[in-house]
Amino acid sequence: MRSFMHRLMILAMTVAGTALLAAFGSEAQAQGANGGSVADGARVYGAMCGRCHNPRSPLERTDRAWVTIANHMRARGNLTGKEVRQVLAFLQATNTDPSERAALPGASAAAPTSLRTGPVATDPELVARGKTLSEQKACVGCHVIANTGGQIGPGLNAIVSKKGADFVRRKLADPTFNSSTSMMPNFGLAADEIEAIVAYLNSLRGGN
Amino acid sequence: MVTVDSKRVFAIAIGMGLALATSTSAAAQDEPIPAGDRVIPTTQVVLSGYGTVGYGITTQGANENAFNAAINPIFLFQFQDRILFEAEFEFELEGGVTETGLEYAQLDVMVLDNLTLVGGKFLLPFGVFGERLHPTWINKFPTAPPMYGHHVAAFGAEPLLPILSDLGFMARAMLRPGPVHLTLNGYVTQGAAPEDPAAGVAELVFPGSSGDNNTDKLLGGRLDLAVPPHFEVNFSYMNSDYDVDNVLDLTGWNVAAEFRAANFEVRGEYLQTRQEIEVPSGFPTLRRHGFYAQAAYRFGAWESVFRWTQVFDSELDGVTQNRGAWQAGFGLDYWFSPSIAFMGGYEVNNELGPELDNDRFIFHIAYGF
Repeated sequence: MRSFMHRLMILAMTVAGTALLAAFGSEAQAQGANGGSVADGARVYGAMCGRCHNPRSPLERTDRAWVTIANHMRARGNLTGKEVRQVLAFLQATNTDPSERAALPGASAAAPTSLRTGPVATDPELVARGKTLSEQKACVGCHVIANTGGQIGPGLNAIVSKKGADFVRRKLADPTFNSSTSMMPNFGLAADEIEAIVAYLNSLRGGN
Repeated sequence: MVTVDSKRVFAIAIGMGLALATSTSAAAQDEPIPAGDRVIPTTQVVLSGYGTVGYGITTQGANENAFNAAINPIFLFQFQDRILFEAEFEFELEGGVTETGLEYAQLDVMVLDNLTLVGGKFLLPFGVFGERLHPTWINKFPTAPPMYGHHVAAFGAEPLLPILSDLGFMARAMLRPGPVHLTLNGYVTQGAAPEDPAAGVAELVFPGSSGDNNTDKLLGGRLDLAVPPHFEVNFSYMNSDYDVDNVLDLTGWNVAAEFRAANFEVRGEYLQTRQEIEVPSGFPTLRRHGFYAQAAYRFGAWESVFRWTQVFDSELDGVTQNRGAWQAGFGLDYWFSPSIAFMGGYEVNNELGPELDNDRFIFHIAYGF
């Protein structure tokens, strides 16, 4: 049997605890914060969301809807505010449908339907462009490239020699072609961009 | 009975832990979520949820052969960056009747980057299955582990606890020391009540109504230690009086663990409850416990699942009260997309008591939207 004083004590502790936390919060507020990067967001997305369920395609929601969904998951899945911002950076950077992305200013006109096949070029300029594109698309968020990166997807150091250049080209053009549950976004890459990335990945182990 | 002191110590530990977590977190930053057009200016409403259509047929025991359908819409109302009201409803066909339920209706206030306060009716962080894994598109098997009972979980033994949601208040604080994720949850809710107050050994339920059958509140907490995405372990505890007179005590604790690597994952939970019973000679304790363990392996769009659930004999002061039971579940899923799957399963149900076993096939398509 609980006494009145016992219940009062619990209530007082709850109030005091909340006040204490609010006080710490005021202090923390002045410290500022880091914004989310796409690569960090990809890592958090795969690691945290994948604990309970298959990570959903970024294409499922608009930028604004993802904010609400991410906060729903913040309350349900133990994400911090910083992690939510990182996840949003990833989702909002990758949730544009390829057909819509092609219409954006600066988008490449080349369509991935004209994918090359066969041997991979080793032109240093093409390799360098592929490296830049790989960094821009934050591949390292999910994949190990040159011995660093996330572990959500397979390592890419030897992906071209293991799977073949045509597989990698097709995967970059349509990430779900071999796996209906793939969380890899469709970046809407143009054929020449795909070729550059394949050339870069190929250069990591130097050969098909 | 658990003494007042032990409950007080528990409450103090939870309170201090939450404060410590908040004060020492390197992630205790407080920045508005996205800038510019990503900020929600006033209120935004988003509909989410999941639906299921299925079919089950028994091959032994009771003769059941039926289709079923259910939908659980989740409404999310967000005000600016820090306030979210979320509610999940359940509509399920059950024996020709449409059953409705309110799984949760809660207000989340993101006070700090690593502190969230929750009020209303919420899923209790007691174990992991009830709070995070019970949606049909997330649960990899067509039924819930029968020790919890919920979502077409036929089983011989009484569930040890329902999937829990209750009315009250909760604080959740997160710490990120290196690769380890620490989360501490503490909550105060209405608590359990006897399903039938006249029964000698009452089954307990969490009514989740605006009234309370007594003046005592349930105190509970869960400590999560995770190294995502590979490993997580959770320790849960709850305690309250459950009778009208604030005399009979209920204590529950739970240990949950999960490991995943590449396409393989294994998870499980052990649950124990200690419930005081009133008899003329005093207040003996009814001890009930059980566990489930589940392994799943993904190959392409297919995923195989095996789940074992065991409910041990319940004991009243060391004397067997009810026989236990076990269930073996064999499942095969096909994923059409990350949130749409066909799930097929076969349950072998073995009661250790005198009743018949009910083995059955269950199939359903689960859609998370």
